[in-house]
Amino acid sequence: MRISHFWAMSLFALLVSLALAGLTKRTALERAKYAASCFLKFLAVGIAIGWLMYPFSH
Amino acid sequence: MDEASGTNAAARDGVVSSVRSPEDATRRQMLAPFFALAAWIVPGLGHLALGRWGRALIFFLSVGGLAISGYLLRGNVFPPRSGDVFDTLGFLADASTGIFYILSRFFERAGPDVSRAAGDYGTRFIAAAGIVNLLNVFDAYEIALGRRTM
Repeated sequence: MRISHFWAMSLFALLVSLALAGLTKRTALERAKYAASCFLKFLAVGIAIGWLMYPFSH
Repeated sequence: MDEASGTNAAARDGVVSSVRSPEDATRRQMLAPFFALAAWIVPGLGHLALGRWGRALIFFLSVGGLAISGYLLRGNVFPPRSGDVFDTLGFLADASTGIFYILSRFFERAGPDVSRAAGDYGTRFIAAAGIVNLLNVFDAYEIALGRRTM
């Protein structure tokens, strides 16, 4: 399977966020909110760390 | 949380068979290791047996999605016997995916390829699937013991 770094990170974030939401929240609405929040935070932190590492790649 | 609010919360989660009597609770406590074993073998099965079908579906999808994505990315699947400590830890993480560890031979027929970044990601996906399934096992065990009402 060919996949870009970004999509791999997004897929990982989505599936782990789903598991964490299922584990910690009870209702479907709470789970959806928590999963969305967790997913966006995963992406934000991943992109931020990517940019922090950028100067070291040159 | 009192029993009434616990029952209401259970109803919101789609709990089909919540604990109704002290006999049920005792029986569940006795069977707690079997619920945990079922949760390990097939992610979500322990919760399904406990009537938590919503949580069962979520765990099956997330663990299965992570493991199968990892195999399709051609991540490394660690064998049971290796001389290296880290490989042994890798095996423990991979084996925690339960039935998906056995299915790795079906999904990853060409074998691992960690010479590419995708293969390396795949290794992490599979290990993460195992860790998530361990959380699933502990959760099913705690629910069966009655320590976890949410």
